[in-house]
Amino acid sequence: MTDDLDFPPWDPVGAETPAVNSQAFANCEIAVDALATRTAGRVIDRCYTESPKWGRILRARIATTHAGKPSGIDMITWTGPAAGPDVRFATRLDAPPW
Amino acid sequence: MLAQRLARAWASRGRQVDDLMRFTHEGLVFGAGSVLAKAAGDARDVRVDPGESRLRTLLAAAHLSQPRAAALTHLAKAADRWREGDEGLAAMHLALSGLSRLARPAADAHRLFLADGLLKAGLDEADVLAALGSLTKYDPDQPRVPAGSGQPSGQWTSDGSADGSSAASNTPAVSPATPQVNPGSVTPADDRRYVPGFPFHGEDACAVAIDECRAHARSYRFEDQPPSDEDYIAPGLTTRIAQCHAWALVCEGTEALVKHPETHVSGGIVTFPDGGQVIVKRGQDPVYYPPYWRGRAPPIWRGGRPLPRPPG
Repeated sequence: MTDDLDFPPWDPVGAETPAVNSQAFANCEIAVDALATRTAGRVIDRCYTESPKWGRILRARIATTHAGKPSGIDMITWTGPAAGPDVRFATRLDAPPW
Repeated sequence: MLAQRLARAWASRGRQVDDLMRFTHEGLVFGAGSVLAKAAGDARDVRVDPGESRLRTLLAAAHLSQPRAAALTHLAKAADRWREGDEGLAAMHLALSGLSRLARPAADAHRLFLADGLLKAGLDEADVLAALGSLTKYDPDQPRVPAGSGQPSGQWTSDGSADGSSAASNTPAVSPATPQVNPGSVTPADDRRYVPGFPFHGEDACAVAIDECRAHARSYRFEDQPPSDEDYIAPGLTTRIAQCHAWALVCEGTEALVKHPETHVSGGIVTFPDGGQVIVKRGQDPVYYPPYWRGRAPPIWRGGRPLPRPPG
């Protein structure tokens, strides 16, 4: 992480190109699945893109419940532009802001 | 008759299909409630035997391919961590197995359900696999029991030696190269104190973020949200508090993912519902940034008490 608070935008932007799910996203998938399991959630959406700045990007939405009400977690996982197995991710509440 | 019974049971099942494998009070559950490994009395007492033919048959039915030994070892480790109460590591080993998600949830769960029903009805695992027939992908890399080993040759075995020794063994095939986290080696939290409004570096960053999130939930005004029945005293309060608590799972899960070397996750950013953030990087203490860090207005702030700004 070059900047502590820097991560890909929550929605795909023009510099990104659509990608297909492949082995190249495997470590992103592992992170998404692990967090979904941890939060007793279910992955309901996945979007695969690539960008020169962020490398491979997997955006996922995890459906879960908070206090018995349906809620969700937005999750972005990305590889970075350099080749290597490491991935990073960011999460936020998928709900109307406070 | 059996086919009709299974069809009726599938049609009348009371559960939705879940595409992720999970530990529940029933045990290790997958698809439409099919139990891969049953809990023995206590919900925590779940054991996975990588060599168990029933488990391998069910997974073959779910994924249409024979599970690999390394994947089964991860399931066994997940059960071990679950028994120890470490849900984070259990979830990680499930994900690392590569077996924990159904590619085509409805169809895969249905096939798993049918295979489970056939086994419960007394069919042999070999018969169920034969029924799956050509649906099951052939994996030429899957080790087999060689001829002359004293066991039926040609059957799948769970280790890489292909000597058949683990085909009937109850001992999980743990690779010595696979690192494991020793919960006893976790460094205790230090005594650094959090100063409200300033970044906090330390292992308690998630706990600080959760406390701050709850404090903000109580202190913010939410005039734009109508009161509901359950929180008529403070509109939206119970929902906001619940969101803070839910985010504890996300934050702790992020820490666990980054700490675990097998995940290849080198960093995570958790944005709490109040706008606070926790940054977790491999090999470093996590850091909590309150919503006003660097003079930024909290991105989802709606009023209430202003947080103190850091100097400069």
